[in-house]
Amino acid sequence: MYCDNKAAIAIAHNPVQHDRTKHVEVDRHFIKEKLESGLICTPYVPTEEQLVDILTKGVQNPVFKNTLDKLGMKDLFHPA
Amino acid sequence: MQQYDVKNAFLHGELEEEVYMDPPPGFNHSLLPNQVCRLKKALYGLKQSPRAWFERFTKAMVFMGYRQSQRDHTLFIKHSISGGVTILIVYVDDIIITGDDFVERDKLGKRLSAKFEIKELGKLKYFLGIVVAHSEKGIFISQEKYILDLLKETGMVDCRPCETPIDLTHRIENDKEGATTDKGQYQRLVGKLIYLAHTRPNIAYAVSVVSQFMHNPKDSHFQAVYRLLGYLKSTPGKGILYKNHGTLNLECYTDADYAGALTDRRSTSGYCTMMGGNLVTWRSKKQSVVSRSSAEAEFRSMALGICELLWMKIILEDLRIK
Repeated sequence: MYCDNKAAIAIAHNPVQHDRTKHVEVDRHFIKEKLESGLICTPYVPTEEQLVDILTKGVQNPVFKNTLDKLGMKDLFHPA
Repeated sequence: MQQYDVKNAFLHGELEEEVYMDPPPGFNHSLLPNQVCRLKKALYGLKQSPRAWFERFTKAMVFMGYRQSQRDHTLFIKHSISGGVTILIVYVDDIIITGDDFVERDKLGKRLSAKFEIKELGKLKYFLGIVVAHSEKGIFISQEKYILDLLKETGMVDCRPCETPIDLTHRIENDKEGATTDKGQYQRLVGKLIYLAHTRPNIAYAVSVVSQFMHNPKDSHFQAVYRLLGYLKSTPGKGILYKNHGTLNLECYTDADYAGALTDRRSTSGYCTMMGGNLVTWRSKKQSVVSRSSAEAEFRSMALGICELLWMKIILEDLRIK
């Protein structure tokens, strides 16, 4: 599970309930539970290596093309 | 992977309800005036016939010793004593069978054709508009034909190709003043693009943006769709290649765009999951609540990503893949 936000990762690991995280309680406990059972781990991934940027915002070339290569999107018949 | 197609699938369904119909024209009325027919089997056009067909199919599969996956009801699995596995997936009347137990696979094909009228289409090549190509490198899926048909249909064959599907700083928002456009045409077009996003994570975000204005499309939204078509034109053959990377690790990448929507300040979450280095599922979705910090927005997409991972884990457990 790769996320590029350190705060979100920290909160997921942190057992203390903050005031600020109160309204995300359900999601928090859900993630925490899965973390504790060892099902997932959450390493940090720097923004440059984040692959899902193309799913959340408009991305320009060359980043767009690089990301697609990393995702394994190819053009078998007309390789660029 | 073998592909099958069931002929007249809906006629196989058995009805539980009492359904009557008028005698068809040409039927001799004089013998039985004022009478109706009670249906024993499903007919095309009945509301319950899809369900009746699927129920009948499920029964037949369970009878042959297959187990229906509880996480995806169209998935049927059988583990042979020899350790092999046979997997069947069905979409209405289209069936794909795969597995490493060749004896069982042949047997299944024969038993299915004995029960229903089935056409064997051989190796999986073309399924629901998706072209599947097998090569030494791996399995490649794309929707090239679907894209070319779409471009032809919209008269965009000669349009200007674009490098990216959507502008970096796009301002596609609720546009109150803009000229109204043909709503039906917009909805049909975007519906096709949504289907296209099945093999193209690269347009998922752009499609999710334009589909937010389905109810009241304006000229500016049409422009965005045309740009997207321009992008498709420049890369019609792009698809996903599945190859063996030697691992079966499950990975998930999540991200969020905090307060990306201009009018309601909601965030967008996105995730993609990879199995053994191959892209499997992805999603781009506008969040349903307003997040008060970027960490909170990221957090929500983490939860969304984990849901997907858990679902995949259960499916893999069903298939007994470790």
